[in-house]
Amino acid sequence: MTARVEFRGIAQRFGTFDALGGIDLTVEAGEFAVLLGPSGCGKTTLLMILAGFIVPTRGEVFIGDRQMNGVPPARRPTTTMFQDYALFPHMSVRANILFGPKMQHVPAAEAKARADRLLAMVNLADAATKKPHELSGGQRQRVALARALAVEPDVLLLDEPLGALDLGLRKQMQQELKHIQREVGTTFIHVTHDQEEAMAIADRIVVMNQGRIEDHGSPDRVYLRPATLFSAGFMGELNRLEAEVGDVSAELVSVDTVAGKLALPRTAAAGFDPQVGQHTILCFRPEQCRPDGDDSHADHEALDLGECRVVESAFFGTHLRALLAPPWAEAPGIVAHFPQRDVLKPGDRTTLRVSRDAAFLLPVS
Amino acid sequence: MGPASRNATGDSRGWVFVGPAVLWTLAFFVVPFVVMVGYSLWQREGTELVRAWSLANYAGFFDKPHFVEGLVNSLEITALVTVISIVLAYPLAWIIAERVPRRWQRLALLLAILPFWTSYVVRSYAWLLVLSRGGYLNQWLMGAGLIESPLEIAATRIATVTGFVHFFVMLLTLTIYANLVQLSPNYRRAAADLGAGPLRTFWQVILPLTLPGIMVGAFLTFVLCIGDYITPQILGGNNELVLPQIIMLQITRRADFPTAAALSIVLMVVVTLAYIAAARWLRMERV
Amino acid sequence: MTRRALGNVGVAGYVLLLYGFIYLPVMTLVLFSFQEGRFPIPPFNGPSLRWYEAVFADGKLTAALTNSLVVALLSSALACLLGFLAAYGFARYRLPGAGPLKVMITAPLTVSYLIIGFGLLVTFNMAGISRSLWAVGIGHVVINTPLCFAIITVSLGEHQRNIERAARDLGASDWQVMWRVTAPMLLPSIVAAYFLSVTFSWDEFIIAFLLSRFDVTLPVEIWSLLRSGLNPKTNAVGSVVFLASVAVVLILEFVVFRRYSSRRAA
Repeated sequence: MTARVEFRGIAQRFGTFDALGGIDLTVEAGEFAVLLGPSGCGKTTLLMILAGFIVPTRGEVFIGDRQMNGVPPARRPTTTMFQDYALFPHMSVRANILFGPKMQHVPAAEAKARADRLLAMVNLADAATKKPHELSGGQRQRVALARALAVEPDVLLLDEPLGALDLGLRKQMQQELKHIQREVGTTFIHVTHDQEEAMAIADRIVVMNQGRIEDHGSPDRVYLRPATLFSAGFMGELNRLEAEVGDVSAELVSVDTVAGKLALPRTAAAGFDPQVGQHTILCFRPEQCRPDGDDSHADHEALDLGECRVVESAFFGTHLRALLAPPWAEAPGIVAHFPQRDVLKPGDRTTLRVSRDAAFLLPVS
Repeated sequence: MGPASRNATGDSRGWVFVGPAVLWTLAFFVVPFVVMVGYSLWQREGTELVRAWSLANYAGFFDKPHFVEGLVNSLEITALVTVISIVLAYPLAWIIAERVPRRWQRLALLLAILPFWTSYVVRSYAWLLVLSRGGYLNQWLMGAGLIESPLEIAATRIATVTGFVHFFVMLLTLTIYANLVQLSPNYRRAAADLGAGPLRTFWQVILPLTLPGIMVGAFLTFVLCIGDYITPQILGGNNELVLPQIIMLQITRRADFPTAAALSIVLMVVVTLAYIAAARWLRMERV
Repeated sequence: MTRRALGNVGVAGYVLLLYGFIYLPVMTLVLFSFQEGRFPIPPFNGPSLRWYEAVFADGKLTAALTNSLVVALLSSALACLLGFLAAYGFARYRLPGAGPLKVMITAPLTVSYLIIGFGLLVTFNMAGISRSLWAVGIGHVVINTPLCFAIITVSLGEHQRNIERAARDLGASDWQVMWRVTAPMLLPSIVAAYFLSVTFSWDEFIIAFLLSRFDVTLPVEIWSLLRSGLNPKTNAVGSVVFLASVAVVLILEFVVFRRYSSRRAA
């Protein structure tokens, strides 16, 4: 009921368009993996290749130890949950769930037991005789999930299944999905363009762009120490400063920036080997900015980027968001999040400090 | 999902599904058309079919004034019918879409097109009843003192046009209504919000937005009207012939298939030209 | 009177005028079908059912009615099947030359029935096939297949495609997908296409006129009745056809489509 998935050198061409250019990726059995990227990045194509709906131009797909090329969708140990749910409109909820077991000639008694168990699991026991059009969006989504799980796949493929739901329901369904995935232990591969959703549910995030994998790893790793500039920007709001590498030692990397010479821990350059004179980008996220009066850490642990002018500020509930014009530029360029109790008005001045451990360096690609 | 995604089960099976319709259309539409073109290039002399290729039938078309007249009649009547039908149907469709409460709209529409289901032949005949010398129209006009002796409306162009307009008002009300209700009400709200009165909103927003739909309806009217035999034959009689009547005369009275074939092709060319014009206009409109 | 009230009066007047125009011939037709005398023109003297008796006593008319029904029901069934299969094939498989083939299949929609009928007449003549109800049926399949094809094609969108994929993904074979999922899912549009097709075939005159000989369909029989001029018998048969068609339309509207449309709205 669960299996490892492996892509080896998968490439896909549609006419003259390269949708995927050589994807190598392994997802472990029982993992909840999320393919994340902007529309057109190839994530859905990759999912459809795994499902067998698209035959890749090149490369191999393995599920468990079995090579899947040439195996039609019906014979693969995968099922897909479609973006529009694709429920059979002329069948009841129960008939929808029983469809797969029936096609696989599962004995009626066992199929019924499965359907009952799944209906209970997705909280739809009362709605078993209803038709899809009588259900709410969230309920339809649950039916689609139950229907997909009824054939007991090794791998469940989810094609932006939460895209049509409103925000509150989406958060609730994310929780339920994660919970159900733990319960059944099936490998889930989920496609989305929403990085918050990805972080909420994934054991592993695979960031894709223009048919390539930019980065993959645990949510915290991909967010805090992204491998590429694209990945860093896609995972969340980002401030960037051009930085030229000065000295490199075992513990420290020093860089020259418009804000002066800054010393960073060697770990700030995680994915590459910084060379003296190399052009890099110093990145930090808005919430990694320190408020002016914060003395909870000793000063030498923060990077001092100088005194900035507040251009705009707005209260966001969880934080105060400020747009800052740094001293080295007239135009506003830095976004910072400060604690909600801070009061900053346009025209105020504040010293911009960034946690030294949080900032990171990325090579210019 | 990429647009060029492919069915993994193989493509050749598609022919099993598509084949029957393709073969049927080939055998009973394309082949007859080719045969007809062939016939149009043969001649009939006396009672003999002369199987020598020539364009004589087409050249003859312009030599015979009553053929050309038939085409002109057809075009005039069709143009008249198309314009009158749109002018009458648009306000009705608009009233049903805008003024009739939502839950009654379907019923109002159904009522407006119910006489559609009179048999086509019978519908023209029914107009003949109304328009004949002793019919209701003449009775009313005389009763109102507007005329002294009954008018001869039957067997004139007016009768033909009336019969056609009746049919196409129903058809166009349906298509224009469908066009109007799919417009977002926000267009009207936005126009009103920006200070346009109802009339201005209609002229500058609603009408231009429904124009493509009207064009499609007009094209449909054109095609169905210009190719129709029944209505002009029953209502217009033999005083003024349209092209389909002339074609039918060649087929049934004179058994002159080559001429009928040539005239049919002329009719098809006219429709094709109208189609190209309409398609070009629609494409321009979209840009 | 305010401008608005004046506008309302204008709207009401226009609606009455147009509905009057639309119903004038039908009402006249039905009214004078109950005429006692021999001329279906004013003054009305009746009501009488003698012309209805005459219609049902007329063996040629009742035979024509049966012929029309058989031709309409059978030719529409075939047209619907051909149209459905073609729509499914084009929507689900990539076929070389699909574009031109689709144009070819829909082309009969833009060609006058007179020309289609005449083309078939000369072709059947050459092939030595004699005129008959079969020939009429073939002609009606030609005109109705593109109609069914177009209606069903429109309802086969990307969403329906995903539903079929889901079925295939859950282990259904191609035929199972078609008969268990696609066809039932498209039932509303297939029913609509079939019904429209039946209406067109039932009402079609010119092809039936050109391609039939001894056994004729109802419109052709009515046509020959017209030769005798204005006649309340024609009114009676026209009224029967009209009322029967209206009954079918209303049943479909209120029983079949109302159910489906409420479902779609949900």
